[in-house]
Amino acid sequence: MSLIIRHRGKPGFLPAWLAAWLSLAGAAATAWARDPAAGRRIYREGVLASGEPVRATLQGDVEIRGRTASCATCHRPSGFGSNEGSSIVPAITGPLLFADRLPRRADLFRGLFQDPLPSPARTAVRTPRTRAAYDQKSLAVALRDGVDPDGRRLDRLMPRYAFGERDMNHLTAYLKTLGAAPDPGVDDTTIHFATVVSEGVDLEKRRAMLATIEAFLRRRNLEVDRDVRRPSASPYYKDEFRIARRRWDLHTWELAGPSATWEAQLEARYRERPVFALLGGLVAGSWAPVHCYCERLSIPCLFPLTDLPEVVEEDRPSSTVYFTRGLQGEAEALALWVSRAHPEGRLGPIVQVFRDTEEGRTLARAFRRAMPEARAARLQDVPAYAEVPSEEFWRRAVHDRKPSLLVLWLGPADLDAYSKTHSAAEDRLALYASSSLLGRTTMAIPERLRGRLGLTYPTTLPGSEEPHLFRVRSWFRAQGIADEHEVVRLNTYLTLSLTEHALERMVDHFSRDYFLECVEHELESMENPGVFPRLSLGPGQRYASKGCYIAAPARDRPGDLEAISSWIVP
Amino acid sequence: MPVLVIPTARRSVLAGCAWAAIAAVVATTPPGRAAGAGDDPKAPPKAPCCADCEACKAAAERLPAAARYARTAASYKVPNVKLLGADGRETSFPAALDHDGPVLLQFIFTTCAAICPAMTGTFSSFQEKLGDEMKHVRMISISIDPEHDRPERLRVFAQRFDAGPRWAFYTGRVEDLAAVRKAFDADSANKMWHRPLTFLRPRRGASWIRCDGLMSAAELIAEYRRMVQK
Repeated sequence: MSLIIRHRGKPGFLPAWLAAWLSLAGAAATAWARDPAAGRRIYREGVLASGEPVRATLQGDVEIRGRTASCATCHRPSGFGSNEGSSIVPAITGPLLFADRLPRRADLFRGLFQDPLPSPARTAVRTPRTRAAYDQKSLAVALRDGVDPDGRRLDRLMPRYAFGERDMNHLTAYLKTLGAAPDPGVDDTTIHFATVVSEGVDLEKRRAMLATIEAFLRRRNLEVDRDVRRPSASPYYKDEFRIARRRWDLHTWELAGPSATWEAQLEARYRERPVFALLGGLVAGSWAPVHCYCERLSIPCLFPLTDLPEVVEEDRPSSTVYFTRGLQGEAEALALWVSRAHPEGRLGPIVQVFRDTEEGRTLARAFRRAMPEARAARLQDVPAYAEVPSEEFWRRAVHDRKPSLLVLWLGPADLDAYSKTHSAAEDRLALYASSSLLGRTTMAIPERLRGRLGLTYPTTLPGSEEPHLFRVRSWFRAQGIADEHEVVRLNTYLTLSLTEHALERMVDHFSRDYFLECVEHELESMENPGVFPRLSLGPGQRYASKGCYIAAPARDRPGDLEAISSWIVP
Repeated sequence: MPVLVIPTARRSVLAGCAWAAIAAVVATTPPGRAAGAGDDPKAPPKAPCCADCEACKAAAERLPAAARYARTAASYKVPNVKLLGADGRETSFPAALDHDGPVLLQFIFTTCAAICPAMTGTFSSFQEKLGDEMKHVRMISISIDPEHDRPERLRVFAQRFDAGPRWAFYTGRVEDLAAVRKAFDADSANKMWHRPLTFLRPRRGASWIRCDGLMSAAELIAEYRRMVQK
């Protein structure tokens, strides 16, 4: 490219080197000036291209900055907005922002009936407005002055920003990409999901999980087929939601071999058939490899059935949502209970015995970390390596150390072996174990330890059933899958019901981020079949049940457990 | 020195290139170094703007003001339940409110994506603007998500909003905090449905002023002044 510049009445040429430099610089500048990645930082983290925090003014006189002032705080990472009480935060994805707004009945119905709305919000939803498309100039005006392209004032909740042109360029470039296309795993007729199962898992549990998924999908897909076949039958305005109707297709991703190879196997399965999200899942050992894979590809993963989740800080929410913090949560709850129930003055040495496995190490490490420093110094770790620990092992591991508190992070066989060496002289010894390692049954507690052993118990105690449980149980009976492993079935059922609720909320905005946001929003209002006493998430929260009981075999009801602590939240 | 006179058709091309060159220089400026007025967050955007014109401003002024808060007076029976402070210490709810001067109270949760940052920001701005007078005031923020908002999370949240020594954050047991919210007619089945409520009480034993809706710091200060001057 060469640029011709004419002097008055006389043609002339810009030197070729200058023209080339200008052209290259221009191309580079255009690329830098509209950098969606820099726009993403502004949007999600509240950090300007200069590295300075975003600053804004809220409600006229409240200064906010950084992450609090980021767009994602209210409009959420997906850009599809949120609602809370009387405050409705609108969607600002590229296709919606940079096009004329024409209210759509499906979205309006969802807005009206999804959540209870106080009066002003209800009025606002009932009086939808059109709006001219934004462009960068009108967006800058909206951000700075709070006036939309039609001259209407934005809500007081919308902060006022003073972005420079460079940052406006970045932000606009990012907003144009936000929600621009559905995420992978969805086509016009089907949403594809996967569940991950590794070799080495309990086959009965695997069967219970897969049978539940199969029955749920069968029921759901029949409903979808019926709606699609009979478009004119539209009770409760169902026809409005035909745009959102998709069959669900579930792919079982079997993993084999060592866990170090799982990510590559998952990668291959995904290449073969991209899925929108992973649901449930059962693997031998830690869930970490699957967690990391989901993180890398930003694939939502809902409620894997694992005692070894990846426990992450919630400043950077992961793509995986777990029921609990697993064994780590149990150990932390026990540490808190011990500090309350066994006052410092009367407490001698503390011993924890554990198997040198992922489960054992996780429990022992978390228990130590959660102890106050002075107690942790008195805590002695004893890993067990032998297949069947000898009497000599127990003598050295426990009896010679004369602990006043003994934690046995062990399974039924090891606990039984220990009980045979437990003497009456040790009756004052406080004993604890994990119900998760013992299969949550009192049958695993040796007779000699009954009445002495406390168990960490992260689920609802037997005998306190939720009303919804009976409805779900009858559904299982109707499907002919009401056999063993009820906890696996109930948790899988809840995962699928929650997915259904979240997708209904999304209508046809198939964004993975939005899916996770809808999951966060919906869980607390859903009927809980009751495996966990309370399930709740919030923006960025990734562990739905947050506490644990300490329980013991009931004295007056053989075979039953009773809580010896309240619900402990570490 | 020859003067360049450029025909109109070419001006835009050259202007584009020159702007690109300038932009390239700006874009290659190392991070941390001021790169021009366009990067100053306090500088107004360069883009021409219709809201700057008087006609648009006038049009905006004619629009009805956004919904403000509703103000009512109310008496609440304070339940005798335990709260857990951000410092990890337990206290009873009546003790937390037992203050002879003005008390301001809000219900929030730390992961809230919409109204809590705004409400807490108002409290933050209020304490800053009140200055010395804050020594007579007690501000209380109570979590409605107690299982998640443990004391350490409350401490981080308080720091994020520069909470001063007269501003306390509390969590506690789910049942106890549900009783507190119920007593203040501020309960909801899902924390995502909670309302932007701010409560003010001038002195021990007096009734509460209940403000339902988001408030600016100036509005909260006005409510406070009106209350203490009575």
